[in-house]
Amino acid sequence: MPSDSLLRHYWPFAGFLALILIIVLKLLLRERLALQGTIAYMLFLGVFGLGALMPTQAAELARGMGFEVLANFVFSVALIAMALLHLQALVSIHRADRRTIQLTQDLALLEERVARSEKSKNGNPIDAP
Amino acid sequence: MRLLVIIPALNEEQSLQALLHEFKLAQPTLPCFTQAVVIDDGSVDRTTEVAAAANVRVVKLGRNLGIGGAVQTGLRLAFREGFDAALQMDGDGQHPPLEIARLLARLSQADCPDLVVGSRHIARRGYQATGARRAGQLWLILCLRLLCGLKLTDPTSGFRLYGAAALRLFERAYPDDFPEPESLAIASKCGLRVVEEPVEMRARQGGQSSINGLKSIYYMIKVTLAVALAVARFSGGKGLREHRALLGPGGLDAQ
Repeated sequence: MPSDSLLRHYWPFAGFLALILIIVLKLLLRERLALQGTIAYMLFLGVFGLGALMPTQAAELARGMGFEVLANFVFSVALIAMALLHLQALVSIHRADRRTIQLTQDLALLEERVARSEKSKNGNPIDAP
Repeated sequence: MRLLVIIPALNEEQSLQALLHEFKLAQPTLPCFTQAVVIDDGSVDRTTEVAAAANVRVVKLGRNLGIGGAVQTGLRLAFREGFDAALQMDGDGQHPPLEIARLLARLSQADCPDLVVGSRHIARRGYQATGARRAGQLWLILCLRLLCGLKLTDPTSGFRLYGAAALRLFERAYPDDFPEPESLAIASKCGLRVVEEPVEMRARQGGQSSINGLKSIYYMIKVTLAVALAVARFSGGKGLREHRALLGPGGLDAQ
């Protein structure tokens, strides 16, 4: 299949990736996403979009890596990339969760201390020794 | 000695009032200064109001952290305020306050345990787990015995007394959900002395167990994996080193 026909065949895929990239950029501008955690994701979209725009080179790369069928190459690379991105997200979520738990505990302990001291001031100490 | 009694509670308005009344009656019989704190783990009922009405300390968590997060909150409070020991008992009334003295007596025995677990399966008095629940417990007993060398009869018991070393360890690193068996593995691998003491327990006095149906299957898988991971993480002397780090300068030698 000639290169220009391949390009016609794959451009909707590249367009779809570009659309997601635009949404990600919009979210970044509105500060709904942090750049630090998004770079790997944008790189993933960029590489796949490039692959869709340059299918001949992508096919050559696939053959060079031992894949007979281009689709198998795309699936394998996409799965690995998604697994890595998911892992990164899991680590971030875990860190945020640990921090949230700690802050929730700190806040609750602080509130209890304030309530206790107010109660003490009003002459109603709790369980005093 | 100063003891903080930690009562984690999630929607326990039905059982908490009677439990706290019982605790107040038992309090003068205890051989040390004892204070109770109810950790309201994001209840949507009147748990906080019931506890406040009983004139005990109440720490209300802004969201549900699970039993591990709630207990750790109490342990952090005990550690920060310089309590010598902390006792954990369920807010559902399963653990009679009159049995606290038994755990305290065990803590002060000559072998100096760091963690005393109240077991309902030694003297076989009062409420006993049956059927699938007991089968699950037997599996966990086997896991803890094979992986940690712990000879326990009630690894899921939430009626336990933390000595000073256990308090220091767990105020920093307490497992999240379904924490009891995992915390036993961590304690064992960190070189803490874990012992059991026979106690009498009751059936829950109100509310509903959070582990039932499909969740019990998840519980068994999760807890088994958590115990295995805790053993892997804290084995080969690393656990002891981490424990020393948690204990601060001087480590275990400072005890």
